[in-house]
Amino acid sequence: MNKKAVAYTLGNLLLCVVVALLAPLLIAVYYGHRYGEGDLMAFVWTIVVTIAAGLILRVTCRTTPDLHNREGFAVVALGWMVIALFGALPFFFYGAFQAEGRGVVDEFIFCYFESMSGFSTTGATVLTEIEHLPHGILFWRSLTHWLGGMGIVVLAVAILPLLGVGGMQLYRAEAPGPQTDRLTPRIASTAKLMWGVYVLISGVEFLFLWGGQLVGATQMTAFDAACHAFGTMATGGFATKNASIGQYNSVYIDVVITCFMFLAGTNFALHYRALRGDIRSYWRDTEFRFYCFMYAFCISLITWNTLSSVGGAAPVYDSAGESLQYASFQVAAIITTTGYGTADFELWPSLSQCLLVMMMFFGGCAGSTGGGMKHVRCLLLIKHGYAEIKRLIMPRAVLPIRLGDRVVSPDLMRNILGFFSLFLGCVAVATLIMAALGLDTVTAFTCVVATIFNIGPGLGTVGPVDNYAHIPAIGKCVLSFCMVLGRLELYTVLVLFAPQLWKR
Amino acid sequence: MKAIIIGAGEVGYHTAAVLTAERHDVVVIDPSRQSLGRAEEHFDLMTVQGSGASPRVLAEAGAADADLLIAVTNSDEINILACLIAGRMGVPTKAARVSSPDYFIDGGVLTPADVGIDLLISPEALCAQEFFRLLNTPEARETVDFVDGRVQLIAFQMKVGNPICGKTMRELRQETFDHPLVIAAIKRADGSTVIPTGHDQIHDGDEIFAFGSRDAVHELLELSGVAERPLDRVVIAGGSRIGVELATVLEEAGAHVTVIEPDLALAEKVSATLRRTTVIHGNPLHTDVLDEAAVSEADGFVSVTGDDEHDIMTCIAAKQRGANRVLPLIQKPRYLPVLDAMPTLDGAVSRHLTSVSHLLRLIRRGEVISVASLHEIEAEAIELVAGEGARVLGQELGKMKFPKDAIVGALVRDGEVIMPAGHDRIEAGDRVVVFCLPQAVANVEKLFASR
Repeated sequence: MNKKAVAYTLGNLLLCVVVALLAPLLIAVYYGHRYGEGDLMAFVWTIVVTIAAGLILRVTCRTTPDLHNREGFAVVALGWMVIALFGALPFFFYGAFQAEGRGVVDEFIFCYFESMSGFSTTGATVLTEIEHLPHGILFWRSLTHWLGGMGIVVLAVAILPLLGVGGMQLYRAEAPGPQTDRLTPRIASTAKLMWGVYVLISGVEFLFLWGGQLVGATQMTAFDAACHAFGTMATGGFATKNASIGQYNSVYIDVVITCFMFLAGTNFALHYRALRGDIRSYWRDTEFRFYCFMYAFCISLITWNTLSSVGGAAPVYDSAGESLQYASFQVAAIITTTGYGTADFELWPSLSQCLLVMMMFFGGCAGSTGGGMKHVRCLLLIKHGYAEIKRLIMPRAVLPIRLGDRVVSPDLMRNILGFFSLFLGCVAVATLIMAALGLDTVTAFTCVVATIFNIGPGLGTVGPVDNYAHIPAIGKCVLSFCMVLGRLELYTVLVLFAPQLWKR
Repeated sequence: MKAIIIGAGEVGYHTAAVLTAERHDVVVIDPSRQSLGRAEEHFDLMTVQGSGASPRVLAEAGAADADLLIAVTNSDEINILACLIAGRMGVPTKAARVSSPDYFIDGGVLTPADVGIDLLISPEALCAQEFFRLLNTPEARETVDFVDGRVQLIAFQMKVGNPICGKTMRELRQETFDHPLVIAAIKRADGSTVIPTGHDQIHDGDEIFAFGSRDAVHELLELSGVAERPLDRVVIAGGSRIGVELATVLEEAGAHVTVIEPDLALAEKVSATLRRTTVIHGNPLHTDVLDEAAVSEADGFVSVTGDDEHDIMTCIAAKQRGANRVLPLIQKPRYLPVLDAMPTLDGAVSRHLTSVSHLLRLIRRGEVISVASLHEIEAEAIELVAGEGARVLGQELGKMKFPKDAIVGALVRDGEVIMPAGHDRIEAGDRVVVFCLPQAVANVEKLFASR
């Protein structure tokens, strides 16, 4: 492997992060000037350190970045870990996690967890008092979501020629889903289009949230509207209020965010085609139909479940409207792996809770910003299982697995089966570690699932109204790693551990 | 520009390599998932699996907004049909590889224009021409003609004892040559390529790429102690279509040709087609067959059986029996770098890259007349016309900012060949031959484009 080229590209990526850091810097200048908030220096120092690191990598490893498959994996996987490291610096310099009796190392682990949770669009927080933080820090927290959602490396491929020939390798290593949709022959223009759609829909959501004031619905400021738009479109889940979206207690906001979460969990290639006028492409897409079906199915089941008194428990909600509102929001939040909260679903009947945990595995669609396994993989696994049963009855039958009118190649099927088994393996190992650290069974399992599938809230002591601050330091490291594993869909990160990758 | 390439074989693959390197949009169509995978893995392009002659597949590949279609599958029929369909779908420029001479004969019922083919490529004829040029230029590893043959590019290996070795470019230009010669590139023994400046020196074992008029090339060869002698006797191993084409060309040039063909039926057919050629039925690897063809007296020996390993072995055997120059046909482009390590061979012709360099004409914008991509080094020689108002005009070549990896090889003004020096200027309407490494191609085109 060409280690120099990898280091050089990482240096370039860090310089991109600097550009992104300018946005919260401006916010910090504004609020610092107006309300005397003191986070400006945290950003100044972060920018200085990041520029220095980026330039050192660039200068010492100057080379033509000729990136092949191996280098592509290394750049993306290492890039995410390194970017999260530098993204943690504003929290650290500001001292967002300073507390009595907490060591510096411990404090930095808090910062890293928060930063990785942002970039990987998980949305699991270790903050106990969100509203105490200055606006610059909060904005950076939400911006990490937005950058990580469509992919920071994809953004670099789209707007910078510096990544050169290897753009395709990088794109493939970062983009979610078993196959990448190419909208155009050249990957840089595909990346540009994807980001364009992303920016456009984010902008529309911002206007809807901010414009809520006009219809007299809410009191959401432009700042909060932007942060929540970032959090929704990236399917992240960081909010600017302690009680997440629930704080607003507004039907209008719930409905807007539910709709945009649903859109964010959809393949962006479909949005692009729809914007080009081919609105029917949504319905032609098998995965989208399956996604709609699962969404509708879960909502109906949970609405019924929270209204009725199965198993002798009292109904959670009084009216069907209320139940539908919370169920549709919470199902969208979980299925798209956003993780916003309006209701404490730990108070729901256990059928509803189990269903939500299962939906965590499904995640969004391929090519969306959502995490999880992706609906298309789950659909193909189900079809594969069904075909295996048929094969037992008719051993000589030729049973191709279809997706729409296309036959899925055995190579792809093998890739998905491998992916599934690796996911289960990773969940198992991480759950055992978390249990060894003293967490109870439900918390240990759901905190791993909620981070590896980039959701955020789990059950037990990491439920929708709790946070991750109490998890031991080692546990935070393991969960941070789970987040990047999930965001890059395992393979890209796991190949780093193959010794063959590092050989020349 | 958006190009659709049909067929992900060697020609398609290498054409895609050039096009993607220049950041064009490329879509490749092929029925084989494997061939597509190979192209997709190495280059930034889109692939569509299916037959290139299917309107559905072409539509999926986006033929509606494509600027160029290159049909280079192994099947003439698919290529012709693809061009026809693509023409109906509105693709303005179409190129097709058609091997069989039967479709478009002079005065036949069908012309390439009927089916919308703008550039017809016959790999066999192109290879035969390339062999012919190499045979005519002794010691040359590669030659290309420009400006109707008035300017020649020659790739030439420096051997120990060559009086040119050890001289710098400046010395060569000022003292050695009567006829001006531009040395455009030097490929060092370690495989690196330099575009030389005045102080660069030529060493033993270098391969030089020089531009000059025919006289200059002649002088270079003479100085190097290579006697030019007319082609008299040529032996061709293999009665394939390339063999027959080459024999025809050689016959016309007045050479005595012998063809060796192991298959009796084919040998009889070849012998029926070629009246003045001696056809020998036998395996060209057997020494007695080679002796019967009088290889020891041959000025040139060419092996075109179509099996690379066999062709290379046959050439080495012929050299041992005393043939003067031996040239194999190479089907697998990845063998070309390996051939450097076989000094026995006097060069080679690549079946596929010859077609690729011909195809490149189509993608060069505007005033470009011809393009040759060299297989000895990764470089292109482009012949173009300096457009009206182009940025290159009116400045002294030595003083202007010319792209670093490019050099003006020769220019022709009013029919006169000028080998440019630092104080020369380019005028509108000049035909200029520029030698450049891949990264400089776009810049050179921009410099010469009319405004």
